[in-house]
This record gives sequence, C-alpha cells and structure tokens, in this order.
Amino acid sequence: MGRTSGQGEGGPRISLLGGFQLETDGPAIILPEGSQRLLAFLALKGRLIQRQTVAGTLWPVATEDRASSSLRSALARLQGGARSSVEATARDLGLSEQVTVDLWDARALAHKLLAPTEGARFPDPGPEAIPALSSELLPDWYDDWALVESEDWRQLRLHALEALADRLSSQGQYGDAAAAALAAVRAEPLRESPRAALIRVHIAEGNPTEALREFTRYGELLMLELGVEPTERLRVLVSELWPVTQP
Amino acid sequence: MQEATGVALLTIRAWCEDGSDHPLRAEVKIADDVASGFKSTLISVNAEAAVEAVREFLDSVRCSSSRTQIVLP
Repeated sequence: MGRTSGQGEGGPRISLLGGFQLETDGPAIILPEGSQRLLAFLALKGRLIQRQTVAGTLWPVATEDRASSSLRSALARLQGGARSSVEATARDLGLSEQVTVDLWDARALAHKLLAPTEGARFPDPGPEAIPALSSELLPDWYDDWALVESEDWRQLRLHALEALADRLSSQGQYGDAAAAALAAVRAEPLRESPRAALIRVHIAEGNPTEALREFTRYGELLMLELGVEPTERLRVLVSELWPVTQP
Repeated sequence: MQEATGVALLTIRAWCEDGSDHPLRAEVKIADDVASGFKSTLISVNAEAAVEAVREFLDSVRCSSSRTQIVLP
C-alpha cells in the first residue's frame, strides 16, 4: 500500500478514479498526454522511482535515448502548479509531499473496511464511500502498468464494497447497504459474491421477495451468458425463503 | 491510452466460482487498436473458447494489413 493523502491537504490533487485529472487552486489543469501518464504513474507508485525506470515503463517500445527524451519532454510540459507536483532529482522522480491522490484515500478506506479488527472500530465511512469504491481506475488507459493497477484496484474495491454492504446492513442502514452491494454487482455482474452480498441485505431487511427476485435474476443471467446455474452455496442462502413467499 | 496507436490488445481475466459445476470464468476482452478501446468481450466457462479467441486474435494481428474486425462468438 502506498502513501496516504493526509500530509498534503491544500496542495495539488490528482484524481485517477473515473479518469485522470489534476487540480490546484483553480480549475482542473489540462495536460498533454505524456505529462498525464507521467503524473499518473508516479501517483500509482507513491514513492521515488528512478528516471530510467519511469522512461522505460512509460515508453516501452522506444529506444532508451528516445524514452529519456520523451520523459524530459513530459516533465518540461508540466507548467505552473503541475510542475510543483513533481519532486525531481538527478536520479529519481516522485510526487512532492503536498500532492494528494484520490486513489490513496480510496485504498486506505478499502483496507480499513477489510481489516478484521480495525474495520469494526473505525467510524462510519460516510456517503462518499460508495462512489469512491465504485469508480474504475483510469478507465480507457491501456498501458500495461495501468491495466495491472486497474485490476488490482478492481479486486480491492469489490471486496471492500461487499464488506461495506455487510457492515451497513448490520447497522440497519439497508438502503446504503443495498447501494454498496449493487455497485459491486454492476462491476461484476456474473460473479457470485457481490450478488450474495445483495441478497443478504434483502434478507436482513426482511424482504424475502426481493431476495428471491435477485436470486432469480442472477440465475437467468448465468444461464443466458454461461449456460450454468448458481452454486449450491447461493441456493442454500435463499432456500428457506421459498415457503415464505409461496401462496 | 498510448501515444503510438496501431497496437492491438487482448486481456484475459479468469477466476473460479468455487462450488459451481463449471467453476472457471474467463473474460476475454479485445481491442483491435487501443486508440479505439475494447471492442469485443467474451465470457466463458470453457477454457477452449478462451484459447480459440486468443488464436483468432493472433491470426488477425498477423494477417491484418487491412485491420480485420474481430467478432467473438
């Protein structure tokens, strides 16, 4: 897990969730593509990286000289507030201390939700938690390094959304719990665990009809897309509900 | 997001649904050109279907001076 955003309040803010954006005091700064990729890469790493590694990762098919030249160009095109967001030495590059990154905060939230002991203790994550955990990392970026990080974030946020749904449900906040579970379902419509989380919320709320409707919807989707049925585990989850709703 | 276009991309995400009669889930996503984004997605419980999608993708890249559009089953 990289840095958290605590120490940099008031400085430049980089958003990676839902797309790249850099904000300083004023409106979002429009950056050339190479500079965006540089800042995004440094934000994902969250530590100092050797220039040579940065260049080789961001411009993998270029020669070493060409990649270094592209890196210098990307740095040179960081103007104003954008320039102050990078800490550069002769050997390394990283984000300066005052920079905050939305992904760092979202990752910290996810890890808190998933920590078995800390998760129960830390305060209510608030209404911003669901949108933060629902956002994809750098959608439509196809660089290898971005795809790997994007998948890593997807896995983390799915588990966190399910944990959040269970937590909110146990507190009787069924509407928010269902919203968290639905966000996970939307991210992975064919995966069973988000669907189970949503069904558990409906059951906890005392709404067996909706739980069974969700189970049926999922079963139909699985059959249509994959030609398979839900697992025994999911069937057991709803097995005692059938008599309740039958006339 | 690449500066140089003309790069095709195929990704496979695979996971297991423990307890299913057919536990494998393989999601294959294909971009003929990353500048245009992913165009096709296949999700299957059958490893052979994923392998076949990879084979078709590689054939299309190898043969496509004229950029063949790949349509997954």
